[in-house]
Amino acid sequence: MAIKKLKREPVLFLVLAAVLATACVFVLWPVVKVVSYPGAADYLQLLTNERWMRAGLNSLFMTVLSTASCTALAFLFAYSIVRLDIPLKGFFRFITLLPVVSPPFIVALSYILLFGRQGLVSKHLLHLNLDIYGWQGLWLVQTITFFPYAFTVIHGVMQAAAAHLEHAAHNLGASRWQAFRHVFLPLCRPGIAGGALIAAMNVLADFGNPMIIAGNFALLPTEAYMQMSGWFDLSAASVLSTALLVPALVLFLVNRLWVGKRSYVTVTGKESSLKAYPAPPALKWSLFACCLFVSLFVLAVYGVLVYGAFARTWGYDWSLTLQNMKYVTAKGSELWNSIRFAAVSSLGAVALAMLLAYLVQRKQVGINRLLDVLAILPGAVPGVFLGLGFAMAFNGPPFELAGTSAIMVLALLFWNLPTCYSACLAGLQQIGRSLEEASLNLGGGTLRTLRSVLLPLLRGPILSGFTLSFLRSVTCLSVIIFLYSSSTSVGTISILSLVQSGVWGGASALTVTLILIAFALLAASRLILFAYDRRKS
Amino acid sequence: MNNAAQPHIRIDDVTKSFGAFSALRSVTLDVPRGSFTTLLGPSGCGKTTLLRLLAGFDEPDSGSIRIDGAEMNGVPAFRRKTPLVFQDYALFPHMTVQENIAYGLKLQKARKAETAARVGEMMDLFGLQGLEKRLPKQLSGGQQQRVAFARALVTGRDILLMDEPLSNLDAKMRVEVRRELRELQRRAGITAVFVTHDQDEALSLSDYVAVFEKGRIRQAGTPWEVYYEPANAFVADFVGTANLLAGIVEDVRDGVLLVRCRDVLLRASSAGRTFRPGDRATLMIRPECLRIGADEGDAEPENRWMGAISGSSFLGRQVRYEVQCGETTLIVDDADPSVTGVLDGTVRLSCAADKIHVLSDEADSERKEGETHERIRPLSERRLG
Amino acid sequence: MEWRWGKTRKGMILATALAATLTVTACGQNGGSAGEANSGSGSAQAEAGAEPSPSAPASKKLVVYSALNEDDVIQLKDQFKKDTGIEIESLNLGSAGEASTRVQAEKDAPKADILVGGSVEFYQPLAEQGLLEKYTSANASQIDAKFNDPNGYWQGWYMGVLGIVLNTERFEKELAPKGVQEPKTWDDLLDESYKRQFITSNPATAGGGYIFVADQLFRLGEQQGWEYLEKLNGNVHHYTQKAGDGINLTATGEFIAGMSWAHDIVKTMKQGYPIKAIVPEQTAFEIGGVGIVKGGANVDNAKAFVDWLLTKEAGELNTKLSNRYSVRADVAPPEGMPKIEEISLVEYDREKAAAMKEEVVKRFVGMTGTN
Repeated sequence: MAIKKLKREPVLFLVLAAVLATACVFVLWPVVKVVSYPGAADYLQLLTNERWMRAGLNSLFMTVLSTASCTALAFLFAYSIVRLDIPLKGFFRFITLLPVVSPPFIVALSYILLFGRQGLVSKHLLHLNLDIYGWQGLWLVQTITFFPYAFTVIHGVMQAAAAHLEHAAHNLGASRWQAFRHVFLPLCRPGIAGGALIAAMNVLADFGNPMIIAGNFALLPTEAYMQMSGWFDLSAASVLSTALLVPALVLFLVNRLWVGKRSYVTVTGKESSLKAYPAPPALKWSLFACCLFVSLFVLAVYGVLVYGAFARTWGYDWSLTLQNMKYVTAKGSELWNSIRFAAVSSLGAVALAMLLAYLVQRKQVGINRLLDVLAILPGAVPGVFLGLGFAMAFNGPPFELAGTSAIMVLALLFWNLPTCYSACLAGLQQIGRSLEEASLNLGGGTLRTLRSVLLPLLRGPILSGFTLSFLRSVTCLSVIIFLYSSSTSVGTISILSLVQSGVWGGASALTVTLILIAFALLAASRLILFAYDRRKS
Repeated sequence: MNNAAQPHIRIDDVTKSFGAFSALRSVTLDVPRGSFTTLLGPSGCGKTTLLRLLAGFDEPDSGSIRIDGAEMNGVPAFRRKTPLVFQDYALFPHMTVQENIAYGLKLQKARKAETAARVGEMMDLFGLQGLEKRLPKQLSGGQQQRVAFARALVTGRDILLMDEPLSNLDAKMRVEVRRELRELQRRAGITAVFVTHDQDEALSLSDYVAVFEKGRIRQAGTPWEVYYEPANAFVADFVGTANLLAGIVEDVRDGVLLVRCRDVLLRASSAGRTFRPGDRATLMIRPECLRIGADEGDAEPENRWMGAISGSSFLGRQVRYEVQCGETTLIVDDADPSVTGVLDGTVRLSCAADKIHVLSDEADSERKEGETHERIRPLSERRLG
Repeated sequence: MEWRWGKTRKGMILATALAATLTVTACGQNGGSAGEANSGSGSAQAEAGAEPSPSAPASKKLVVYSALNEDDVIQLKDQFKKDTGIEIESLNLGSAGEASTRVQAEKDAPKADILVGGSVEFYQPLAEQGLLEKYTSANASQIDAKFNDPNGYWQGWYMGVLGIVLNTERFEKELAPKGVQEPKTWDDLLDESYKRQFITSNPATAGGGYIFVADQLFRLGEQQGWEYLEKLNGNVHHYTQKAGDGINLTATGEFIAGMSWAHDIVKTMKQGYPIKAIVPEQTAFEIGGVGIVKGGANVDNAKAFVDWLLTKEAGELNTKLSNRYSVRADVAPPEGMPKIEEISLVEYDREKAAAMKEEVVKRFVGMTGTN
């Protein structure tokens, strides 16, 4: 049946072939390159090396724990922002973006400065004898760092969950809690599942925070990174990275099973103007307090970063100075590269993600499952692994890309693909098919329907997917560490080299500048979009 | 193209299944040009599936669909020119009323002035003036429904498909819209295919009705035909209330059958079909065709029952009685209760021979038991015949 | 950084270098033209101490993968061009491991001509895989034999030693009043006062961490060495992934003392932190290497670069920039560090250290329960 359909729609067939080829070349091939690098004996080591076994278990433990807390926190923020009539919503939205910008190591050091053994907050403000190094501290940091990823997906889905269904539940005698549990929560399921998945994969693959915070608590990605950068044991690094693939794929399967084949359509084209049922004040204000607390926490961490950029000696002598800014002026081209690559790769990621989500969710093409896996796979591999795969796969014919801007953009693009894809897929799952059918019925072809019906309806997920990708690309280190060349070096490389030289003030200054530029650009693009909408209507 | 003799839409032996579920089994139907044809049946009977096949959202597993003589298999939905009004309207939530209506014209690359004029026309026609800039969510259900109609009609196609578009309206509004819809369709000369599960709606709107059951058309014909001359018990029952009486043919004389149903002898028209004495036959009498009166011990021995009223309900324009006649319960409508008042006790029922209908399929289907495929004569043939 | 800006001449060099880099990077691929224009001025390339290359290099370009500090590279690059007229296109990689990984990933189509910086331990496996070009500089004869690869694939050109980083502020406040003396030897670190106040790196992940462990085993012998490590473990708060992380954390006062490379400690100290670098007795050292990538486009220039690195001038420049010792006996020690002959180095058997690594790491992991 699928074949028959493809024959009938040659354009669809061509697009499908192109997408599949692209995904195979840029997702499968690099992964295969890395997986096939070590020999069987190297893989056996995985079972005999006690430290690695522990690291594997620790990684699973951390992932489960952090995913739960990230998802819960993200849900809390999303619910407060979407459903509650509370002040400071714009501020909270901003807070859900800020931790995405987490340049290598420097943010982890901010946590230590605030909450470490000699921490400004932990020791000097609260007089606590806290020890942040270990899984507890890491759990906290990972929760804050990665809840924005879950938030983006959950928020998008929650926005689309129409209030009238809850009204229906209330009407049938459901209390607030029952309506929430039986109607609202299940409707948010694709969002929760998608958000949790993307948070889990990020936590699973992260090595920057554990490197500093985890103390003696070894984790797989850190181990993989250190085998590569510390010992130059590429086989061991590949083995460890491959070991990460297994839990990642399991996570993916669990997600797909949980969301299942149920319908979560809430945008049907029959519109309702019902407002959300107001929450009781006690609940409303306690949720508000939670959001505020977390926000202040995040602000404090980034506040340290900003302050550090203008401090004479980061973490020691806090007298103000502008001397760190000289690093910024010296790194103009790197900063420009950061922004340029991030923007182009995020645009590409959104476009490809949209296309993939559409094919997977809407077209029965026979290989939907495969495409689904390919779209999410880059998220299952640690950034370092992906970058290494790219370096190995595209350093010679037929794809001679080493050292070019193209390889930087492509690597970032595919690294961002799962994030954008999850957002688009969750959004798409909520849009009833009849809307597209209505467009087809009126004479709009597939592409036209995509453009004038689906794209505008998916604007929320697309925008948030882009924003997230852009911000994390700007501060990404892991993916590009094996790919940059002297003309394509980026800001994070300079930040890393400054951190390694102990010049944290300069690193902070560079980081803050990068964050400012990134947010300024985002704000500008939103303004332009807004103005465009105004003019249109 | 516009050959009047040719059916506008010809559905020939179409089968469609979804996995193990057979949604349509060998459906054949002709929709005459300019007609209002209704696909009627309970939910899950395949009527919406057929409509989606017409619109091109799905493709039949086998069989063919022709519009204006042109084969539609393989023609994608967006080339079919078969505007559809969706059950849930499927208005684009991000477009204003005006944009929603203009969308189809925009796709045809109509000139701006023309688009504006035609959209304006539709807005007037459907009483949507002043709502141009509203978004769908700012409209009432009735308004959304009218926008959905306007959006489908604005393109000026000669076919209009409708998937239970009135189901979301209240009873009074529904009746009103039906009338408007019928008039609009006639005036524009559009061929309308309408899906509903509401037999009142089907009978009041349609030129032709095709009654579906479990993926098959059980009967297709004019509303009069499906109501008074149902082919089988399912149609008889689904289209309205029916008294069904099983019996044995005792005698056949000059096209008049004498059928014994339990202890009552009924005289009925054979409607051109051949019966032999001893054949089984099922008779159908609509409640309003039975006459009810007090027991007066009258002469006629045939087409007459004696019974006791076991229930009655006063509906204003009529009274509906349930009358127990031996082991048979008959439903009787007294169309003018003002004459007799509400009756009680023992009554006599009678019926004219020409108001008793012999179900045509019953005998056939018994003979062909086990056969899955049931061929229905296309409407056009029926009409000519 | 500031200390460098204080001196006008260097400030100007840095500024010029930065400007040059900016031009090059901004122009991207087309940056070559700027390089050529400059290269004319450096034509007087004959340099005292450097043997002229066998044949005059055809190109004036050299692609360097470096694991050195970025700012240091800029200065080395600048000086090298002045001396030889060869334009270096450098790529700074965070660590020797990353640089080696790069070279290995690119082995089908090498992009680099030369790999510089990082311990020679990283060069050995590359040589074994046939990724390095064999070359012994004529200048190598002036250098102690332990810095030269007997097989000629890599060349040692600087040296780093392990040291103790001490947060002087916290030490004065918390330990000095208790009568604790500043640590002079590795054994001093066993003092109970350092309990959970000492930080070092993990031999399973950090090269420096392993050299430290091996140092103890060489210094004290197998049995006593392990006893020492076990006792020390009681004081260690945790083992960091990277050798340098302990410096950061000690500098901001999270810990009182730590173990890391002395030159990195000095670098951080110069940022203004209240720390000092102590080079204890019987410390271990790493040899910083340079190696020519096989199949690179500019082999002759690469050889010229190796020759140049071994000159006294280049040695002095690097010592000043990176606080590391030069392999040349005639180069003064880094500022604030003892003379090389005053440092007592452990008898460090590189081959044995490499051979026993797996076993040692395994035992260490089991002993410390780090997971």
